[in-house]
Amino acid sequence: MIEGRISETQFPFAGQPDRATLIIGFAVSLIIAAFLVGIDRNGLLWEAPDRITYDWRTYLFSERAKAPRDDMVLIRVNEDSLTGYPYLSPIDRGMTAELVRQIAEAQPAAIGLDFIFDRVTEPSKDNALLAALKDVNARVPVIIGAVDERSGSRDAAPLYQERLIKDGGLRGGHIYFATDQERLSLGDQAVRFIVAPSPAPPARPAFSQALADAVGKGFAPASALIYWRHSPTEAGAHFLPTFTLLPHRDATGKRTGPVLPDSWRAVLRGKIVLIGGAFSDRDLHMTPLSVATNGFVHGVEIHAQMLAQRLDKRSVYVMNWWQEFMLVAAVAGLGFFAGRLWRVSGDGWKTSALAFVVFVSASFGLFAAFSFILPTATLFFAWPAGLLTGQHMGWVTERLGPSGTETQGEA
Amino acid sequence: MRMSFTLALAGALLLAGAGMAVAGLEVTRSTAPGIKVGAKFNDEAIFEVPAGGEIELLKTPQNTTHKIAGPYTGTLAKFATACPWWKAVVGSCKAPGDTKEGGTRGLRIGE
Repeated sequence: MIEGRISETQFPFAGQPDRATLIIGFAVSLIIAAFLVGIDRNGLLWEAPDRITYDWRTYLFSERAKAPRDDMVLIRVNEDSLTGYPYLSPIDRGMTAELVRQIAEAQPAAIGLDFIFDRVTEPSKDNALLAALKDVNARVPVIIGAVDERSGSRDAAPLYQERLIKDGGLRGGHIYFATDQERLSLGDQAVRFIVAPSPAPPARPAFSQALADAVGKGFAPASALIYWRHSPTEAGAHFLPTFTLLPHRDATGKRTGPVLPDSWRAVLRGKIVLIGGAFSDRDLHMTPLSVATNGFVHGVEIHAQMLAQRLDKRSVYVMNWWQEFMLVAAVAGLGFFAGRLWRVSGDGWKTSALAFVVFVSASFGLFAAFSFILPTATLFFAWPAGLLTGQHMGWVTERLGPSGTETQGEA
Repeated sequence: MRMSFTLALAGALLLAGAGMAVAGLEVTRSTAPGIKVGAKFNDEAIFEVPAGGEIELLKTPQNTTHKIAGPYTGTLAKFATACPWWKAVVGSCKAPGDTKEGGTRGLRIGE
């Protein structure tokens, strides 16, 4: 017999598995599935060998936008934008007030401010921003980024933030997104997940959800995984029209121009305008798309991806626990009966390797075709677990059974 | 009759001309020497962006924005950003000037 080859042998029960074998196989499959899914859902399962392909799968098979988005605009604020201002953080509230008023004059569909308003700054500027947001919100929905108790030591409802929301009549959306949490390792720190509202009050929706709701296009994705989309290929086009606010003061603080250039305003009309920081040393994140470039993106760009996903009603699909349980049980069951019905040499490692290749190929195909994530970690262990159990069950039944009849299927 | 046909043709041409807005490019950000923010160009303009330099352009009337990262010499239309998959897989798409996690203290090994 050739090493690793599956060859059919005579089955001891007239070529068909008897009822007892079927019952045992069924029970073994359920036990294996319960064990694997249980430890996986608790972060205790080793990652599958194809873990290194997950981000490549996202990078290589995520859609590429055919054209830049025509329903959103991003305005970034960086160090150069704040030339002539005495501090970078918090971003000058007087400048923010002026920027929001000028954006509102362009009649956008909504304005999203991805800044943190957890502290007061200069009272006159804080008040100016509140007045501007209140005034603008009467005509254009304004959503501000909000923090909650998940920011650690910060107040769960900072006074100035809550004052803006309450006195300005604004909506707040939490600014969080999440990386993968693992128990056996540190994880890779890449942002992958949309985060649910805090369980503690004031429970606010995600920033992107609040913005989508504001324009009547709220959508809850089928899973928490962010649906990434590449920028268009042509002519260096941005994913969405993107501007970096220009310096409008000289180094001494003297005004040199408008906060928002006139020529940009026509682009904002009817769009959702996101405003966020783009500083070189903060709010920078890796995403699965970073795997090819090592590039970091700013938080507001991740919010833009999540907002686009909601506006397009796109989802990445994953299995819930019982769907995964059924699939893992089926694969374990196949392994079990393969081990019982055929002689597999080499302890089945070659068939397990083949099964693994099939799972990985299927995971790429399903993601490319349906944005569906196959749980390869549990499947990878399910096949050999079922196979080994099936192969060695004869040894067990031989010792447990009354007649001690030898069964085959052992390696 | 002939006069009215000529008038109608002229009117149609005028209307068509009015519908065809002139495409243009405006520089909205630049770290390339010699290319100033606010400068305007037509679609066929040839940009010379040195290594390490970047320019961003607003294209009208499409109202789209574009980024050219140097080194590049050519028109906007011919600039391609997407990295072919085979180059991505072997790590040829990694930009040398990428920012770092941890900001000013988060240097990468080898820097």
